[in-house]
Amino acid sequence: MDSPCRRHGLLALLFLCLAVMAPAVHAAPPLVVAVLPQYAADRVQRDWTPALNEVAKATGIPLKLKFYASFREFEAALLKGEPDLAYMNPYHAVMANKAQGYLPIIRNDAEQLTGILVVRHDSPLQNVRQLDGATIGFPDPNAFAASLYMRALLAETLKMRIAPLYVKSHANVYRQVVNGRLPAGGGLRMTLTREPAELQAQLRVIYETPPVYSHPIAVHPRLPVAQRSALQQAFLALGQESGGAVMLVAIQIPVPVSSSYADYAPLAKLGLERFVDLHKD
Amino acid sequence: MRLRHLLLVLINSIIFVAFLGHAAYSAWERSAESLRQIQRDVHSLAASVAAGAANELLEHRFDQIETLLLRSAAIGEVMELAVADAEGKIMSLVRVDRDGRAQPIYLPEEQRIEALWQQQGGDQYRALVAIDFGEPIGWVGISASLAKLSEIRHQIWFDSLAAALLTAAVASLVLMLVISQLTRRIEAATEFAEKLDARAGNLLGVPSRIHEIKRLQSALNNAALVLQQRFAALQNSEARKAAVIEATLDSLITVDSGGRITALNPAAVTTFGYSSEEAIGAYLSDLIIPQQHRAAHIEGMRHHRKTGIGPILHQRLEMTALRRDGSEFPVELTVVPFELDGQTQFLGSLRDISKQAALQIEQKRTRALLEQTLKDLAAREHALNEHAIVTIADRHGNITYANAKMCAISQYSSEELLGQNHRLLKSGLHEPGFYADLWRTIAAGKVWHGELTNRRKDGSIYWVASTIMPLLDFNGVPYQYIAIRTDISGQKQTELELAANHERLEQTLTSYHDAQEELKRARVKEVAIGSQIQSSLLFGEVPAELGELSIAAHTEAAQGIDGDFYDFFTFGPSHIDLAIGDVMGKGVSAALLGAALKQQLNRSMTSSLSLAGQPPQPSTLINDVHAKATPRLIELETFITLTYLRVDLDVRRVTHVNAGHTPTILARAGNTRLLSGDNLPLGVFESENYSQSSLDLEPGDLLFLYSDGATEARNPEGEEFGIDRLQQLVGSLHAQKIPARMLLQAVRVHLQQFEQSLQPSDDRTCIAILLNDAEPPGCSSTSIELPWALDQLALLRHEIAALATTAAFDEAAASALVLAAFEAATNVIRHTPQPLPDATLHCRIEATPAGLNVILHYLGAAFEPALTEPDFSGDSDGGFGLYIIQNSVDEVIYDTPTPGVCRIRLEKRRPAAMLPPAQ
Repeated sequence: MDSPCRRHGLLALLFLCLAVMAPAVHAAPPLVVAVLPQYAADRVQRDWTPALNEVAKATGIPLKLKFYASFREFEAALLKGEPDLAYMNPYHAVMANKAQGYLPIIRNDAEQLTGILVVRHDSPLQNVRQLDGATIGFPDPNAFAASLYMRALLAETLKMRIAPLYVKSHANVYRQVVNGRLPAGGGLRMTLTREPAELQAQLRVIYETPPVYSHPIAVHPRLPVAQRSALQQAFLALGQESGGAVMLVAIQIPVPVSSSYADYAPLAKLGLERFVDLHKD
Repeated sequence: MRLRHLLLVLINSIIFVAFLGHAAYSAWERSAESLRQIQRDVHSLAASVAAGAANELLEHRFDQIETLLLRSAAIGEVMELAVADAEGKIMSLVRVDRDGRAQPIYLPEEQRIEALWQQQGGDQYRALVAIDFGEPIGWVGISASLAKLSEIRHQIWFDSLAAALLTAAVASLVLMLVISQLTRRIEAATEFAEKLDARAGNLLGVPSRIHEIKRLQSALNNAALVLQQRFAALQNSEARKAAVIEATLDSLITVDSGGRITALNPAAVTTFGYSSEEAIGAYLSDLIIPQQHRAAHIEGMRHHRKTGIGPILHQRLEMTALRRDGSEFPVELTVVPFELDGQTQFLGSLRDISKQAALQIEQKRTRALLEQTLKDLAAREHALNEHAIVTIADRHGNITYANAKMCAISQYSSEELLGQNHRLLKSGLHEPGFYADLWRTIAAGKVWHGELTNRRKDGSIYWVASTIMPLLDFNGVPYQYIAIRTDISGQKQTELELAANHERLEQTLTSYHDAQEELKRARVKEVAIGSQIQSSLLFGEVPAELGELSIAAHTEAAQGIDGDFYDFFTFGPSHIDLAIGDVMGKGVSAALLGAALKQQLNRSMTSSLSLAGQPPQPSTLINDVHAKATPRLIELETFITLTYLRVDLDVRRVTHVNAGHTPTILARAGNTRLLSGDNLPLGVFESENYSQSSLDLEPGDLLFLYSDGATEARNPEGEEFGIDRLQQLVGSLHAQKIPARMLLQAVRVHLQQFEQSLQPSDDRTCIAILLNDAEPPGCSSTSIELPWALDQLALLRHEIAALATTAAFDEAAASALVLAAFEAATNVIRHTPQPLPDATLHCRIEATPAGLNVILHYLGAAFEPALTEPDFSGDSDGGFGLYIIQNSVDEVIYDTPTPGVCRIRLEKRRPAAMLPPAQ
């Protein structure tokens, strides 16, 4: 029953398969993209996939998201130079640069982060130094400007000792201060202004950090310069495309601008690593 | 007002009121339900917020709580939502503004939830729910607006009223249509009736086309027709009745319910003498009812008015009536009630029955007299015939009548006797002069009495007592003789037999007396045999002494023979077993069972003895006896109580099993105690297991065993001797060291005195076992029991002499002691009456280093010797013995250690030369 016709058909099918698979076989392995594990993996996947797809399409460089279960894993990966491309907080930008020479290429332009310390509007406290030895609420040990940066500044520049109490979110920090459960709490200027006016009216800012640039995307120096540049251009271009704005908002870089290590170098002297809680997931 | 209008107004009013009422009720119900629904919603919302906020409150996530409140505020009519901590301090508060937007409220200063919830007012519903996380950790407060509720209420009321009015209107309309049809027909019928009425009975044409009205009109026409006919008939009937009333001979009087006469007919006027004018309106009771019946009449009328019941109505009564002239006469009366113009009236019909009444009374009297006479005659004849043999004969002696008794005694039939001469019956046993005398008497017209013999048809003779009475004619000549006889053959026979019987009776009496004597002798013999059986079968031999043990036993039967038993088994010089038992019941059957059980004991003992002759344990033995005997005892429905006791002198130990028997009394050192067991008698339960218990004995201990005949002895007042009294008695006797046998006798005397009878009411067995004190060193003793007889004292002399020899006592001194002891014993036996037939004199002879003593114990009253110089005059037989005793021994003591027991102690010291050297 072996007819010549059938034999030709099988051959044709084999060639077709090879033709389809050829590009995959010859393409370079995708770049590993790491994202600061602020949120659960599914949210990271949801927020980042559209932007990365767009960038990959524009550059022709395949990108692959890699998820980390905790801060510790994320930082360990950075120290080892595992990811090719990483979205990280300013402290990481310093740390990763020191360890592996990671270089920031993109950051948000819109505003700089300003950490604030708030007290109740009728609090007798007038000066931040009066909080020496007090329990102060923070959203999370590793929240950068509201907690990490703030605590580093209080300790390093103001030489204060405080007892931090982590209450999970900015909103909760403000409400606990308003309720009188905490004498003071660390937050961000940006998050406070999003709160209802009535709540803001109940709070008074007693101290604020110098502004810092927000979270950058950095690349490993092993990437060829052409690739680094192509990726930077692709992210910058994303703002120009239709639908790109939504993708940028999702990855918390609504207005991307070029960045360099110089944006983050001033943080190096604060010794931020001492304020990182690596046991925190 | 027309019926149609009335109905319309009435029905419409009812419908409207009903529908409005229903509408109001359902509106009220629905409003209340709406409120309840809102309340339920608010509560469930509060509960769900509390559940949601619990975890957040624990973690102080006030931002999350706020989010939860904002979300929840969108539900229903919520106006305000708050969460407070456990102390009630508000942690998060959300208010809904007028536009329905929920806003978080940040209170400028601390506020408590209860304060906030109290200060609010207005149209709100508030709920406060605890947030429970094992324990209350906070509060959820919710206010909901009820503004919407009043809108809902208004709507409900409006809807309900509108629906009710609409329904009522429709219902009214339908009913009006229906009713107007009906009322129109009724009006047509009414119109017809009016016309018929106006035509005064003349019929009308039936114009209506409606069936019902047509029928009604025809019915009215028919009714009018029938009424006309009835009226005419009534008029005729009235005329006839008037004629009847006028013409009747009976008096007819009508009275009203008050008893006043309302009418009377001419016959009544004639009979009673009152004119119509006088009578009508007067009380019936005043005119025609005699004085003696008036009260009853008035009461009868009153009773009828009250109850409607009149017992005399519709009855035919006979009574008396009163005429105007005051004379009374008998009447037959019938009273019938009737209605006149709505009033009850009575019609009385009275008939003068004076003549009939007189006639009837006379007839009745005559008839009664006649009947009585006939009855008397018949009774007399019957009595005569029943009692006597009667014949009637003509003047020649030919029989013209013979009654049944005559036929029966003579064996002739009535036909055979009639026409025959009396000679037919002659016996021929009387002298010829006897008959001549008889005939002479009766022919003279006198009555003859006498006894004579007649001969039956079969030739046999019978005796009669006879009375022959002549009946005389007008000339005084007998024309008939009536002979009345009584059969005295039996009497005559008895007289003859009586003489013969008298002789036989005398012979019988003699032999009866002989038989009685025989019977008495047999009973005595039976009791003797019983006693023999008892002593041989029921009671084992008592070993009087065994080592240091003194043993005494005694039994007395209630009926000469009893169910008590005992037995002893000795094993070597130092072991003795004792069984004492009591069979339920008395007499020979109890004795036989006792004997059988004793035999079983022997059998079980024999079969259980070890090869070395070691007896089984008491409990083993009793369990074996129980296994063998109890099934049989259960069949016989009887039981046996038993104590089995073993004394082991080697180890001074007593072991006992008590199978429901009376507890053993142990007397020791002035105290007593009871040795009882908790086992049931033999023959009660097959499953019973008998156990033993043991006790160490001490020198001087006394074991006293007895049957319940001892404790249940009763005095004439019915009081029981009782175990306490027995225990006390045995204790006091023991305390005085009374020897065992004497102790037993003393107990018997006490029981006898208590019962005040020589014969015990129940079988009574007592056993005393005394463990004697050990002899002090250098001492020896012997005890003997002497019968209560002067010629039996030789043993005393012998025993004293024997012990004196053994103890190397001076012979002369011993002789003096013998003399004193002999004299004392003689005195006692001679002068002390004994309460027991088998009383003994107990003698104990002791040899001590100091001397030789004789102690006598006996029953009796206290003896107080008044020692004087002996009287040698020969006039007195007392005193000399005492003198001898006093001078023969060194010391003599008379005492009564315990009531009923006396003691004499004689001491003879060793002569000084013989005393052993002082230590």
